[in-house]
Amino acid sequence: MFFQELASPFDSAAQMNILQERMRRLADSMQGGRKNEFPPINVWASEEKIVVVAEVPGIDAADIDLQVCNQTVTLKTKRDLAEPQEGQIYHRRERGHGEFTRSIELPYAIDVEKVDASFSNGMLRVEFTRAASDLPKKITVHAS
Amino acid sequence: MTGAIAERKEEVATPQSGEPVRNRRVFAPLADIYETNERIFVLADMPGVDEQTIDITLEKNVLTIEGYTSSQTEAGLRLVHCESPEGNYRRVFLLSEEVDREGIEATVKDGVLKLVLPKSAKAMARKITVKTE
Repeated sequence: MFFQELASPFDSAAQMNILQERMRRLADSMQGGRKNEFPPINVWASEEKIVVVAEVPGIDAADIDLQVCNQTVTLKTKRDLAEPQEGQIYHRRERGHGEFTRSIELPYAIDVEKVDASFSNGMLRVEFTRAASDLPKKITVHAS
Repeated sequence: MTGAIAERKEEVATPQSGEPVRNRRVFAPLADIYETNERIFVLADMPGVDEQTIDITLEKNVLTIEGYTSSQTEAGLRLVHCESPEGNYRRVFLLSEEVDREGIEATVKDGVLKLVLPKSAKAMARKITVKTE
């Protein structure tokens, strides 16, 4: 027992692997694990309302497919690349294209009838209202 | 899905000349630049910006794109998750070829700025046809 503690933890190959794994995870988290997600979203919330704002520049409103299933909201969009012209040379290509899907789980059940989505200047804003049945209820206690 | 979308608008340092009064973050919008024989096209993703809040200046060969967004706040709600912090846009490009200033066209649609810069006749590449003898 005493000698085991004296020995360096790096002696064991298995422990070395565990340490390496932890370092890798730490490095991943520092880079921001959600950097690859598109579109980037901001979520505003209170006890009764949730507002999700997504940045979807260059996407046609008709190409936005928004679905709500239970407490999960799924946003599907696509962005097309402009038709290449004759003799076209690219100097910068930073804007992505293709089809994107993103799902968000809401913290409580929402009223599907009261969803309000608007789209302007490449910003999609969706407002959800908490379902009346899901709202916390106060129970009065009667003294017997 | 291309790898390019993985990039996110990046925060840039505010320029030395003129310090903004309001302390807002400034981001460099992602851009595509391509050229054809007659024109240079610049596309920039600037969500939240419309034709009134965009500023484009061309001084000599320095093209500056600036966009101002209104602050996002939701009354009575708290920001619980934030991937795109609010801020303005600014990006500066150095154009290598002479541009016909009169013919510059700028349009903004769904948060994407499209700039069309026609090359001046002087700078346009002269094509020399090679004939066989």
